[in-house]
Amino acid sequence: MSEPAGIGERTVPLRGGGFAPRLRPRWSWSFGLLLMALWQLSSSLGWSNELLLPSPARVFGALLDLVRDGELWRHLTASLQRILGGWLLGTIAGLALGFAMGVSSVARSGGLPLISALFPVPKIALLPLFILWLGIGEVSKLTMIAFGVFFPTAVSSYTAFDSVPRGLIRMGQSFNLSTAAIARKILLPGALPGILAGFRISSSIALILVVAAEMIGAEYGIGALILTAGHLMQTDRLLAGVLVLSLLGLLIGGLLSLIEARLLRWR
Amino acid sequence: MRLEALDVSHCFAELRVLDGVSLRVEEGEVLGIIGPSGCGKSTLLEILGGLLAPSAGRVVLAGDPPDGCLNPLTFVFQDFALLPWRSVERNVSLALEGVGLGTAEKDLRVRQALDRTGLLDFSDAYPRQLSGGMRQRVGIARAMVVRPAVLLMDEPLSALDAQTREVLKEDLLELWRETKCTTAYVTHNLSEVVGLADRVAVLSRRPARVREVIEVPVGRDDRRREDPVLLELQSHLWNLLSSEARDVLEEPRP
Repeated sequence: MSEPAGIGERTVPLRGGGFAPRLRPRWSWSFGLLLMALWQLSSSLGWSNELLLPSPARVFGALLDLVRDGELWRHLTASLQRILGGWLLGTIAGLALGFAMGVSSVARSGGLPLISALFPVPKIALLPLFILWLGIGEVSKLTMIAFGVFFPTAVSSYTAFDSVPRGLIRMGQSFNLSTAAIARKILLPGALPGILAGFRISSSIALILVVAAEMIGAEYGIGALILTAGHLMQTDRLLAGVLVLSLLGLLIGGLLSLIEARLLRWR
Repeated sequence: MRLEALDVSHCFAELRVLDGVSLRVEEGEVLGIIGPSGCGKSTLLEILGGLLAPSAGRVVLAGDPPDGCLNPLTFVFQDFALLPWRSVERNVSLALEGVGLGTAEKDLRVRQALDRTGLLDFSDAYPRQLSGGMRQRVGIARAMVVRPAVLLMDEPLSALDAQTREVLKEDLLELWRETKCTTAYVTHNLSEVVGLADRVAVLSRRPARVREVIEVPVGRDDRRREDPVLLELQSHLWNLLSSEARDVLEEPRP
């Protein structure tokens, strides 16, 4: 038994509770399903205009049709090729410049102001110019995507290389590692977390730009699919295209998480 | 081997850090280097180890390297400087990469170094899985695996808690008993230097000069913490440093 409280004695009041939000997957799923059900209900009861906002069931139906007649596949492969090609080009160039700016004063002095000036320009604004230079075909689209990917990659990889602790480089030098060995064994793995974080940003930029490019001039591609569906008032097809983009974004994000878990096991 | 700084001076831009420092680490001895904080102890050690070119003066290494020496000057760093993406074993073997040693010989050396530092059971662990004391043991194993002529230690115990520090002090005494490795040992901790060094070089505040070099009058293996001779030496060292430490404290930062 505890002692009875003495005169003037009281329990210390708790002030430290709360501010500990957590993600509960079950709640998330329930909330999503509830939202979907409400949407379907409003369509079924005629509260919303089917033509302007088709029900989830019709959107899924349109998606199934697209899958069945093979049209989705044609659009999807066209978009994926552009994303992959443009992203790879931009990433390779961006990593090269980022590394150079991380290790060389010349590259840093020349590159940093240039990048700072060009980074904020919305790359879609350059597409008309690229079309004039390179024609309306694939090359101008790839170039624009590569351009959009290049700048954030250069900036994030430069920061990543630059923030590898000096002490580790000193350590490598003290054990007589060559410059190339220091770059390969210390700089590159040290910068990897920052580089991979940059991939998240650059891949979502590639996704945005591919849709924009396909809306300006393309026969196939998810962007073209969405634009055409809009012209024809096929809102169910249009939203099916949007759904595909969302899934594509999630897929890319998941893939990157997998790569991170694999390569950054040491963290 | 013997390592000697001859009239070494160093400036960072306008800031004069070292002002004609001459000192000698004799073969087989542990030379403690102390001085008020920010006086350039670490800069001096980097110059001694060839990581930094002095503005004036030079550093000389003389004598025969020990058997199997692959790198005459290696460092133990205050912040351990381990590669977090490499296992303990691969952190130690980094020191042997690019020295043209056969795989079998490499493995043998790494195992020996891990064994001596009590790390054999942790070969595959990553640094983040280890305590600070264990991490510094990896740092010591890495520095010793090349059988250096001179070991350069830059505040090796300063990032550790007091109890771990005592344990690692014992480790170091054991290491020196076994290998007789010539060592320059930079620290700001007076009881550490009195417990570990054969001689102590006291630097002045910035720009640093050698104020005094004092021999520790008790053999390294016969030292007890409460030995009055050592306590007196410690207080003598503190007298040399205290007025300068006070000035440094009140000085604006460069």
